[in-house]
Amino acid sequence: MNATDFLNGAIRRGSDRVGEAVDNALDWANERTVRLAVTGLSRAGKTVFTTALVHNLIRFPKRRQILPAIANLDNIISVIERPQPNPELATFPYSANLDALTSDPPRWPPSTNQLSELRIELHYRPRSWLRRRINRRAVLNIDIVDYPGEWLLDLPLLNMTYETWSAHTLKLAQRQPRRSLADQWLAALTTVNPGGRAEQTEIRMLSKTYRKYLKACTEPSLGLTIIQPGRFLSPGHWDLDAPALNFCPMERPLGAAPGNGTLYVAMAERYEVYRTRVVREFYEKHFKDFNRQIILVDLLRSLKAGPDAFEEASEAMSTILKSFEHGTSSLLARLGLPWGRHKIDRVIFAASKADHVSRSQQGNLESLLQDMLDRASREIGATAVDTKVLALSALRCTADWIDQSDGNRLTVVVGVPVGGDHERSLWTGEVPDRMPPRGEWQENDYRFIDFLPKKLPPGAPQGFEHIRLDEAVKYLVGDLFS
Amino acid sequence: MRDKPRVAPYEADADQSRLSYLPGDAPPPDHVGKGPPPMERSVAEANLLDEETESPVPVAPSRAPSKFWATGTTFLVFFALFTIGFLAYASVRTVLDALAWWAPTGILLGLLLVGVVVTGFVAIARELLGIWRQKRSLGAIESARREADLLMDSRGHDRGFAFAARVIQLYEARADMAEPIRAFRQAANSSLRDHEVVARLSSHVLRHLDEQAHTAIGRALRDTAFISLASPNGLVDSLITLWRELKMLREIASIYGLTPGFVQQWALLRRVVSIAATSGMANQAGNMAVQSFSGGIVGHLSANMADSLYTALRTARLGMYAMETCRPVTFLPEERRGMWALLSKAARSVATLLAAPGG
Repeated sequence: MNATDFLNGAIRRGSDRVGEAVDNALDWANERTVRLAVTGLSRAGKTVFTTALVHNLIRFPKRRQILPAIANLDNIISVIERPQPNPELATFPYSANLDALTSDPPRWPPSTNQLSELRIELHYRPRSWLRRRINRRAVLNIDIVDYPGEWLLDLPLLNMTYETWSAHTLKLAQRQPRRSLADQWLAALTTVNPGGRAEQTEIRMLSKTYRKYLKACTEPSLGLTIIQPGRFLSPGHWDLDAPALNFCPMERPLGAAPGNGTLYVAMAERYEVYRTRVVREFYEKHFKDFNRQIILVDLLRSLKAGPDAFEEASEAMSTILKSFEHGTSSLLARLGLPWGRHKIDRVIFAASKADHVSRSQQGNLESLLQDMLDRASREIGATAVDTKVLALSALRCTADWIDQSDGNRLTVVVGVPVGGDHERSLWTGEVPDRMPPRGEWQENDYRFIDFLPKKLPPGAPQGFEHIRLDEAVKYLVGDLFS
Repeated sequence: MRDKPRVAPYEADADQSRLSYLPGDAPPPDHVGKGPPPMERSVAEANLLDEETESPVPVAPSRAPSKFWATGTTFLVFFALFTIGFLAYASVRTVLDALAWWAPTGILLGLLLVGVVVTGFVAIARELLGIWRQKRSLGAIESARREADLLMDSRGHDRGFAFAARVIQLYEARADMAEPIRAFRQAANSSLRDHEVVARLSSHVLRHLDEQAHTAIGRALRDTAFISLASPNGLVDSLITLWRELKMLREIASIYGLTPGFVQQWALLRRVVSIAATSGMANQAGNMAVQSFSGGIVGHLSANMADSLYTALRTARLGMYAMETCRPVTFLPEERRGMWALLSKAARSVATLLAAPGG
């Protein structure tokens, strides 16, 4: 090999590498990722929302009328669901959920009990002249994290010391119906001395009775929301016997600060481990860098349970929302560079399960949600974030009909109730457009029942019928295609 | 009609004899053979189904007729009558003179005069009939737009569907609109509120008409740009451009379901110009920008090129105003953004012309 051949080879290899680097840079420039925070307490409908969103988006390029509000986005070429980018997490069980929803008889997917993630890859033709010149096809990745709703309630603990949390929880336990549920645990607390030596048997006994109390609070008819710590009921990959998951709130002993080795300090130490190792880790790893957010609230459950439950849900949501970063992302983040700081710049407040009330009540549902989250939404609005309120049902399982019997003319919902085998019509009562004063809150003012999904062919090739899921998609990611 | 708030909540079997479908809801597949047959409702019935208010949507009263135009019209009528009278008098005198001079010439001229008068009356009568009909349709479009504006603020149901049914009637017979109308029907369901129905009507049905109108405007602005570029005489240029713009107005009106005659085009032009004149500072700023642009960079290149660009942009703006006049639903904010595409199309058209050999 002479010097010329060597030089030619070196130039060729060099130019290949440069070409490859340019190709990679162009691919990177044409790929954007948006992290969507699907936020909601337990039973708010996060899993069904994510499943329906993925399913309808996948079918969208072939059947645009599945999502009418974005049917005009004709530059979307294809949508593919991908495994999560984070190899440490489980994949969101989209197929299993779809099977459940389209089985015969249809059933709701099981409650989420572990962290999972999913990526939706949308291929589209860029509209901007410059981006079209770079590449005719661009990719938008939408990453969604699903998690047990109970864990969300742990986020406020990040800013609470053991003492503060204990005082708050003990105060809450004095309210009915919690008071009667907490009897055994509160009685157990009176048998121990917080300033005394920490005994494992005492700690185990207190934790066990506290966990029992929390379990009792999850009874759906009670509509209780603040159930902390969330991992006590839904531990994920943690062992329930782990010390970090065995403690309970207790009053600080009077007098001097409790010394090391006392029961109070032992409990406080375990709380601290829970806060730092469990909650902070979850928050740092999975709850940062969101760009868009949808907050799902099951208003009907709170409304049915009464004013205490309603106020509790309102307080819980307002506290949780403080844990998210709203505002404008840094310039680096907007350019898609990894060092940028992401913030949520669009938020939807959604009253989920809107199909469980008749259409005439959906406007009131939106107003009620606005009233419930008034403070939180004003605080978010103050960060110059766009917000929207929607009554939404990701999977519509009822139909609206008119009932003209008995001289009344009402729009009722018709569907098959959970546990039933034939259709029932339901007039829910008039949903208030704002939180009713305590004195006017009558028992039996509302009647809400859970319905089963409608029967669909296996795989639901036609997509899922929904109420305003398309509006949510348009608001959350529609601007990214223009 | 409002759902009565005092009715206590209840749950019952889905008794088919008591229940009926809502407008916008196709029978769900699992109801086939089980539920009552779907009811077909007329627009009037659909109006009654609304739960929010009992009265029909108030349509704002028509604008009071302008006194200026009343005076102007009177002047025009008197002027026309005087002209016709003067011409008739002169014509009859000429015929009589010819008859006195040589009878066969007089008879021939008399017959020609009768022919002119009769055909003239027929043409005028037809034009008046056309104007009367078109005035109704243009008025209907205006009224529809006012109703659509009200519905955009409404959180009720059904009235949106009734409105959509009326608008769809305008275009149902057209083969090219079958697919958009079908898509709209697929996209509609009873849970949609009035403003959502109107938005969906606009994005699914009217958007296709907008695209056709955009194409018509694109053709017109290309032509006017070319005329402006090629014409050596300002007067000829103005006349041909005016003719081409009137033709564009007629095309746009036809696309939105109006069929304007000659006089009606002037009425349309008047409305378009009145909208243009009252469309606010933004357009003034746009004008200034265009003028400064044409007097600046492009002006240095060629006065004709700048003229051409300005004419094309003016045609585009006139076309856009015509679209706003003829469209039964006001543009939604996100649809209005699409107008910039048209303006850039205007600029591209002119650039293409300039780049063409001999341009």
